[in-house]
Amino acid sequence: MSRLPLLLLSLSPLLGCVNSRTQWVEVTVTTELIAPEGLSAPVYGEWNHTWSGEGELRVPLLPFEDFAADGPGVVSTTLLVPLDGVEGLTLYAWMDLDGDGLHCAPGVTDEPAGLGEALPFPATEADVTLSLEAPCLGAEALWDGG
Amino acid sequence: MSPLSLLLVVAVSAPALAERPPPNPDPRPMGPPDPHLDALAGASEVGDWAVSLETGFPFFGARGQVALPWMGLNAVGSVNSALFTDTWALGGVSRRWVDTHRVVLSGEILVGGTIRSGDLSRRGPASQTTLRLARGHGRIVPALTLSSRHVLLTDVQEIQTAEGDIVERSRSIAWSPVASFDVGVGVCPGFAVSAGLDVPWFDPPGFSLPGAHINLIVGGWK
Repeated sequence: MSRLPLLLLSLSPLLGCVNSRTQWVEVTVTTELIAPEGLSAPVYGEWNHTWSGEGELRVPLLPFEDFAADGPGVVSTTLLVPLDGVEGLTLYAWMDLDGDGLHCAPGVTDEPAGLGEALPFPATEADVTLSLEAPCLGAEALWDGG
Repeated sequence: MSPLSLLLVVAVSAPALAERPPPNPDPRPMGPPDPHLDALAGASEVGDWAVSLETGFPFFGARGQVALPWMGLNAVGSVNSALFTDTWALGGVSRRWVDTHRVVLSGEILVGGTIRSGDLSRRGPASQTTLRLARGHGRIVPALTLSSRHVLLTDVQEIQTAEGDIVERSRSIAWSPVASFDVGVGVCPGFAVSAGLDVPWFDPPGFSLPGAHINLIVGGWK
């Protein structure tokens, strides 16, 4: 980018020409899904902002993107993550043992779940290791307080 | 008709002919300027100016106009704010398109900028086109104002990628019409007040509360 457009872009907020400016990072996350021995089934879940909001409205684990994998192993995912007002990148996932698309529907008590934070963040490449070992627990139950 | 009867007809009709007022090429009455008419009509006559100060809910503001010596144009400056969170600063021109003894219709085009603070904050270059219909010329002037406001919103997204930074821009236009009805009263030469109702429509199709305002108007010759 030449200097003049960069200068105009920098001055534009002062001149009132730019309504909003948001920053994003395109992250390629390498996820290693570890399941209890002998279990193999599709894995579903969601990507969360580890923290979002400010002050009294600051909350953990705000989901923003679905996650899906054919089974345990290494999965690569590319995410567009905002940098304004949010911190961190955390994956919650569970294994769909009975294939009904639901996590622990009534009568089902053995579908394992896990929670892990992708590091480093913010960065264009991050890694997370997720151990699916907690049957029928939600993200809130697995959250250790950050 | 005999000469005597012709003389009689002329003698009878002469006073009536003498009492008929001469044709007036300008139907507007002469006299001091009508600042409330000028302000509510949106444009002053050549040589005049008008300034109005507005207070009420939700709008506060000030507006000035001065007639220019060309083409009946007025230079107009306006600062207007809704609860001091949605502020518009505009300048431009206005002109009386129709001006009879009973009705004045004017139009104006203003450009400038707007800043809105709060959760629905926005900013950008703005324009406002307005039609004003006022019934003049008299001590009491009712007027209807229809305004169409537009804001050009430019949003910038800066994306960090493994290959480098990307800057994307998107543009949209936000539209906010406002209708007002005023009644202005001339208090004394060069000074008037008006009261009115506002029907703003911020960011259609959402609903906006109606409002009311009072104007203090001064004006006169340059």
